[in-house]
Amino acid sequence: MMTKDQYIESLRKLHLNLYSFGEKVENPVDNAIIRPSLNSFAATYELAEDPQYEDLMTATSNLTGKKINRFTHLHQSTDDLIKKVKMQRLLGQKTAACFQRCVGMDASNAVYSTTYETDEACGTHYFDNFVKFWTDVQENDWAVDGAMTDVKGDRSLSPSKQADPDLFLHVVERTADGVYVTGAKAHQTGYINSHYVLVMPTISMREGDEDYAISFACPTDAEGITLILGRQSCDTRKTEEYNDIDVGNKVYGGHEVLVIFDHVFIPNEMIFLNGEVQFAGMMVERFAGYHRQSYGGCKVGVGDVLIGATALAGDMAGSAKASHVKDKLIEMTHLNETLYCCGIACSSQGTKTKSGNYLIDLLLANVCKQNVTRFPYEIARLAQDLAGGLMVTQPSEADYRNPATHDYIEKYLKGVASVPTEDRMRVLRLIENMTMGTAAVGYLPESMHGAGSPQAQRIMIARQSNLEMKKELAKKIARIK
Amino acid sequence: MLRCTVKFCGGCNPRYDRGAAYQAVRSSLSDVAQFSYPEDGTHYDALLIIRGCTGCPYLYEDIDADRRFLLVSADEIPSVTEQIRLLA
Repeated sequence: MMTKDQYIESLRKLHLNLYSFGEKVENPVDNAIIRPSLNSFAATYELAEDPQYEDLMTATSNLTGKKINRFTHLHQSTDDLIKKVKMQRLLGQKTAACFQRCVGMDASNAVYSTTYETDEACGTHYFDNFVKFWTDVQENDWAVDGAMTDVKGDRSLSPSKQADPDLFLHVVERTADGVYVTGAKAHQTGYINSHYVLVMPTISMREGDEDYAISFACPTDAEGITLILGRQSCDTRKTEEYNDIDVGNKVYGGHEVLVIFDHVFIPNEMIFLNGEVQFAGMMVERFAGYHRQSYGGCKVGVGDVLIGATALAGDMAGSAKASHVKDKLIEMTHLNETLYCCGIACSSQGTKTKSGNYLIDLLLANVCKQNVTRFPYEIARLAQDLAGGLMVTQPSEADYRNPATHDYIEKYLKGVASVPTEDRMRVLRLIENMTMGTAAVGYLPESMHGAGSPQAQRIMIARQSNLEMKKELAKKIARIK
Repeated sequence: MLRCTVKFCGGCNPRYDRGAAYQAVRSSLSDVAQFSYPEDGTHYDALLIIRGCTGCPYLYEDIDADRRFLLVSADEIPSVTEQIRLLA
């Protein structure tokens, strides 16, 4: 396994074609806007080195028998699925941000089982391709980004019917050695911090969409790939002279990029689906299921930090003993632990796929994610309720450091006498960061849309609700023949 | 000296500081026991399993140890320490 330092150094060797704020970024590793996201990703390496977290952070590979980082593991039991969720909660607690490595883990497990079943039905050799690639990933502890979401253009039209054929990533040229692909993947969390990208189709495909039913892996800095960094609210606070208190979370963060593939060559041995339209849906459904399970861990860990910050704000303001404050903290905890219950439940009810790895219970995973589209918003609302208006009206750190205004701020922003004013400012900025600043991108809209928007889960819930059985139950009780 | 090893649960939601608990046990027993992290093929007199909560079921059967001691809360540090001391 790589150490944290080895991982960071390995990223310096990438030659990403990355743009941000209208300029080419030559050194993403030390870029003030991007670095916090790298630190979050690096925590997945750092904690794996610590005996206190080893039991969650590492696993034994079914491919090599060696000890590996769990983020590269192909789940071999329901216990593995449960440990995955616990690991994600742990990382959320340590970073209070999206640590970005889950998407590659979820993609790998979906592609592993789908390629097996595709080969079985179609006589292809995608499973062998994937096993070779993933063995290399495990051996080198590579960071892998999973890329599913196409930009999609006109949502009423299928991929092959779009006015611009590139609005879904597709094969534009075929040679004896491989294929060339063109298109774009949106919202790519953690791409800049990854060595490889594992691409999957974004929706179920039908006849005529063969060029769009493509799955492959390639280096993140492959020729023809251009990246454009997404903006986050309050992101430029990280570049200000005083960038400690006001950023809320100085060390950790997340990022998303728009990834453009412009005639990128993919060799045959890195292709995992190529025209078998009937298996695109399976890959999408399984990836989405795993990723919806993930949110029952990562967002819970971030929620733990937000609940803690809110409780601290109450302590510092002297309001901790008020009954409504206690009750709201209980409500926040109840909501957060409900999400965790869903993550654990869909894991414990997992089943073995034909390939041997384990898949979560898809109905429960979708219920999990449906709750995630709602509860973090309510937790954030309660956090803002208890934090008070000072969370968004307090002066800047620059004013706090300015001798002309420091003493006034120190005096008038004081809460409980024994608590330094600076500490109170820090915890309020943390709540701001998590509920409306850079970290809110990960905690709120990502909870809404990441791993699929709410309606996507409702479609899956409808498909698996077993409604006819429920009707029969009612008929029997009501004595209807 | 007793040859002891320690195994932590993964630490997803610990109710106490497991690292500090380990240091407390270890230092209290420094006159009778030597602790290290588990290594394959090594036999230990005692395995101290430090769980952050009551929800962790693992006994780490792959670790070769004569006795297993469970620590589930900070309150148990004195009693677990004494139980290990009795082996010496």
